Amino acid sequence: MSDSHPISDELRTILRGFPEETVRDCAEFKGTGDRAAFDRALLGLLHHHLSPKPPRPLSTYPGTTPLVAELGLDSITMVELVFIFEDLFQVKLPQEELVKVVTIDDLRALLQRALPGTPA
Amino acid sequence: MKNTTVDARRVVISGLGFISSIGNDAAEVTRSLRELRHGLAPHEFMPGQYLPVKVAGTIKGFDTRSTHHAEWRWPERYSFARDVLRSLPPHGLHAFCAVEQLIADARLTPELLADGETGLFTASAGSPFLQRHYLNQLHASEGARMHPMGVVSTIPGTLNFNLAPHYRIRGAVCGFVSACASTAHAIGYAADEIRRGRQQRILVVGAEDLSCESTYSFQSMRALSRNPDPDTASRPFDRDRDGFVGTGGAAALLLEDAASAQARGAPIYGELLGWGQASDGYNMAIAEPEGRGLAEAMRRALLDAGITPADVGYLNAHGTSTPNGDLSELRAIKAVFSPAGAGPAISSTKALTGHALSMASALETGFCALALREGFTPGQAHLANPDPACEGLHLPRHTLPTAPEIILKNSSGFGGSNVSLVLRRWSAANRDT
Repeated sequence: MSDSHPISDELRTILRGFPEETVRDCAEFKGTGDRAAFDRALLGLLHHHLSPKPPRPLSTYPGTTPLVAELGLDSITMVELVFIFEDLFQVKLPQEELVKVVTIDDLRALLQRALPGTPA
Repeated sequence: MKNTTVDARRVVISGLGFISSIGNDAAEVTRSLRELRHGLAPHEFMPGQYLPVKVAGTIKGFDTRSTHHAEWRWPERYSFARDVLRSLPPHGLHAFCAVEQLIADARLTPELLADGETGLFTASAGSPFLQRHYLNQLHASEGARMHPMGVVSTIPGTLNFNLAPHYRIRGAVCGFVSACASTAHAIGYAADEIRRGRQQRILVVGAEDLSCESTYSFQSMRALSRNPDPDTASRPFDRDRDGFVGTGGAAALLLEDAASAQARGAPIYGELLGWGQASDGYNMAIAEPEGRGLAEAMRRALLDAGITPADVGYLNAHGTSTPNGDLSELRAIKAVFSPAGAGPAISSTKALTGHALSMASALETGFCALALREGFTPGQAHLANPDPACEGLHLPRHTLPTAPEIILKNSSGFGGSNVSLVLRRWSAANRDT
């Protein structure tokens, strides 16, 4: 994790209310394309939208963890999360692919396909 | 003769919550009412050099100017998670704060809220402020984008949608839409539900945004005061009144079966003795000049309560400070009380708060509840030159240090909907009059 990557006003506006750590991770990924930063940003964004919060850090959950059945993400919250991804990374996530997302890995893969140059 | 079909149970007010221009809790509101301290202040509804309306009943301690909840600010005593805030309009935040006060005041437990014997009746105009923002997003994206909470956070009913699931309320849940009579209807029908034994208790919650979209839009009807002086802009029944002053916030009341409230040791502010309603059948926005509809609503309320005009010690008027509306109400009051030789103290507390639209009745019924329990009668603030139609009526200029035994509370809304509520000072010994 690094504090050295500039955080634009636009990024701050998109991530209003998010933890500062997630904002920094997003800025780092946008600045470097770093895989680890991408993962931290993804899990930070996901964690912010979960209610109730999972009992342990999301990084300890396997990628096969179901978003709805285990983490309690509902369909409306999924749309909120998608809007944040789209605004943050200036991409369009196709609806037909979104409905196939079941696990953390599915979400990760969808974003990686949408983000040119993201390390797989 | 008292209506005996629905009076098997006594209905009391056993909890209150306020976020208002004159105070953000019952103690502060009581002080303001006793001292006739208003909550009006200079207010800019939107940038503009020529805006003729410059005053509002502002809500202190909150900042909800942003369309994004992450930028809202509220008093530290309240704590709300993102998943609560994300579907709220600004007045929804106020409503949650008022309900938190009510729950503590009424000693309601999560189990009672969820027992199916607790209902929720609400009213608000929704949030045109937030709706405008989301609809602009929709159009700008050519239909691709609208916030997933864009509907439930903005349409009338948003208070039901948000409050009922959060508090796990499983009883009767309903919204009321009769403009500025909405929460009076909610209170009346809540009382009926309890009197009929269908519910033990019902939370009545009214709230409104104070915004350009909700409030300043009344300027197009020339209903708002153009007086720039907060000390005199809202002056119901004064000869020089020129319109109402807008306000927002939230008010919450718990109506409850008396036996249930007593068993829990809840504070009992007063008894809801009866209510009545009648319509003008006259105009979509203007009160019928002679006040016939409102007079009939008052008569029906007195009949339902089993009392006479002479029994009423205080009348909390609708009195918005509009030239036509106030005159109509004065004539209605005279039609009901003068033939009986009755002379209750009369005041409109909108002189202090401004007009809270659909939440006004809940707010002002809350004031009446405080007056009954705390022992005072709110005076008529800002009355310098009474309208000639006040002749023969008793409008005390200062708050009286004694509580009335019985209060009549008037409300009127667009389309000529009129509602009157009758409240009585609580005494366990009182039975049917």
